[in-house]
Amino acid sequence: MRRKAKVCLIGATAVGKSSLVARYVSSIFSERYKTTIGVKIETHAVSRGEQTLELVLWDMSGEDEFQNVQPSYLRGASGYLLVIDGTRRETCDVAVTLEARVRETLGTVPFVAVVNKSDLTAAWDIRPGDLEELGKRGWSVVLASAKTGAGVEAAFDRLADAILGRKS
Amino acid sequence: MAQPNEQPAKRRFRRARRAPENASQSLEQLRRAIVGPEQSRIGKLEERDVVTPAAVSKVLPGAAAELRGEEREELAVALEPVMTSVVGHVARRQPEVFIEVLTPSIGAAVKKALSEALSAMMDRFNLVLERSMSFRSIRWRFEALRTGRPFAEVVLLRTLKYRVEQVFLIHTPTSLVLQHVAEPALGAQPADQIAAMLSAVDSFGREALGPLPHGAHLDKFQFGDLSVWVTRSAVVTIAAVVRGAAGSDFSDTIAEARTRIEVAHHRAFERFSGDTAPFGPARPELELLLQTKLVTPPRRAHIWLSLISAVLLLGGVAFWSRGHARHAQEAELRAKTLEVLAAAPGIVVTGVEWTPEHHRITGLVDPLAPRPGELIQEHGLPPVETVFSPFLSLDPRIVARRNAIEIEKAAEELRYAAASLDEIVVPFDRDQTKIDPAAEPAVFHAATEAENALHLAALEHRRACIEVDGHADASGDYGRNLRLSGARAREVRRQLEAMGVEHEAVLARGAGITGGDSEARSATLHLVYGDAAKICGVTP
Repeated sequence: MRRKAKVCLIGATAVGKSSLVARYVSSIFSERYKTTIGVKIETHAVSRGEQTLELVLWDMSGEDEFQNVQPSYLRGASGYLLVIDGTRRETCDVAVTLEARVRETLGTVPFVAVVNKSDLTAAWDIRPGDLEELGKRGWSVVLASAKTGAGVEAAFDRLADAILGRKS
Repeated sequence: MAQPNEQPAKRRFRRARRAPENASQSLEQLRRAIVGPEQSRIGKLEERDVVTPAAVSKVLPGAAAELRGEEREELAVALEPVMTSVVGHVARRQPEVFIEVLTPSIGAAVKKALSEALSAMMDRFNLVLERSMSFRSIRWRFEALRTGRPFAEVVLLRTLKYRVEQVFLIHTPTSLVLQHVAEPALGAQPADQIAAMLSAVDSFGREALGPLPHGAHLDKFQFGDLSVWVTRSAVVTIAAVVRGAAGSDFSDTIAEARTRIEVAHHRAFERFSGDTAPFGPARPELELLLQTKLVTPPRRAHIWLSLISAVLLLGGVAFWSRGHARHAQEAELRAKTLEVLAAAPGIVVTGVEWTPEHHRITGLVDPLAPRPGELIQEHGLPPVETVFSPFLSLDPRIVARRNAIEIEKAAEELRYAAASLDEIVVPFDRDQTKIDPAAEPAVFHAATEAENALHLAALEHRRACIEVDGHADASGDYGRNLRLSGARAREVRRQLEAMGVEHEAVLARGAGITGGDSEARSATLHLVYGDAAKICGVTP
């Protein structure tokens, strides 16, 4: 069986959302569709036994004081990746805010918090206590590096499993 | 005193508690206080007419008749599976009903279909003429040469009104592509990315340009000659990528298709959770939208082209007729010539090369047969090159002719031999019956000619003999001269026999006195044949 799912990538500005997608999806399509309207789209298929989940990835613009994530972009999403920059602690706070905002729009849908730039742990601003705090919220947290590729596939796979589990 | 914000049920309960006249009354009051409003509503519900099939049948026709526009379309689409099933059932169980219904209209339907097919064929013919013969066609050929593109591609681009290249069926809430159909030449398309970006652009436009009225969405945008037409509801969106200029009615076309799909697959839309397989049956509906419309050539072009076509057609018919008549004439001459040659004895045709430019007949001809060229000319036929080799024909007519010639030739030779024999004179001395040595050459000559003449007569199966006449002069006794002439004839016969001439073939006769000079003392020879040969006493 083949299914499709809309998945959003959200997070503060410059946390590495596009880099994570680029690492996960080998496609030149994104380069041609760099957009100025706040989102770019990629697709990637994940196989789970006889099931194939085709992820339509909405790489949203970063959340900052000038630009908010548009709720209309979120609608219809089956899940999302919440990206945090490990070298900037404030992106963790932005993630907490965004999660609440997404929940208002979508209700409860599967998501995975990805703490990016795990290759730069020496320069990390986030403390272990912060990660524990996220865990206590019930978040599924994955450390990843878009630069080295570590944890990237695992993050997307965990989200795909959550979506399939939720749907099956 | 009741509080202003007290619930009405509580107030009723309090009043009931203050006036307990008796237990049953109190219980009734209590019931009214607690469930009074609900009892009232239940009573009203019970008073309503029960919905029965009869009641539905009364209101259904009127309700269906009042439907308009989109609602009517939705009802039609909803009833389609039921009606299809009913029609199929009736067709299987009671085919005679269908035959009765279809018979009156089937002739007209066939006629209409034929008429439309002929009309479409003529349109295509006109279009082909327009494209292949017009000045524009020449211009397009130059354009194809200049740009290096195939001529067909240039023609299509220049005559294309519009072509729907892709159609997306999109689940509106998730922007996921449910089905996608496209022209095969386009190859694989990133359908999900395009659909998602369409949704994103729509959202971006609504939020960036807002506030916009409710229901206002991106319904069309254009890049050069490429445009994207979008029709959407809360559940389903159809986007069509169109090359060229589609008319405004195309918007209605895709909206109608969207409504039909939405109604036909409403359960699949309700249950949609990412699986697109249930929407496979919607593909034919989408493929119908992949239309190509070409520019209709101007009417004047039709007239012009029709005139050219008519002239060309008439010219072609005339040329064909002329060629056909010439061909028929040639065939007739050829047959007649061969017939003349075949009828003549002693002529055999072995080969014919017959083209409008050159006629040549080869074969065999007997020397006794007529000359083929002369024969053809005698019959008034056009001259033909004749190449004939000689041969001996066994045709009975030729054989008879050859025999006749041979017979005539033999008769001539026989006449010649007879004449030669007549000229021979064997001389004798006075009173002599012996041949003088000087006369021996004449005897020898006579023997040769006699044998030759007899041989020729034998070839002709004719009775013949040599008559030797002896002669004497007038001097002396007549009787003696008569005997002398007979003796001279016998002497010559004896000499001839000595030289090989058969005895029975020579008749010696004394002719008596024939003159007074020395020439009378002689013997002469004469060939006797035919009826006169009865005297010979020999058989041929």
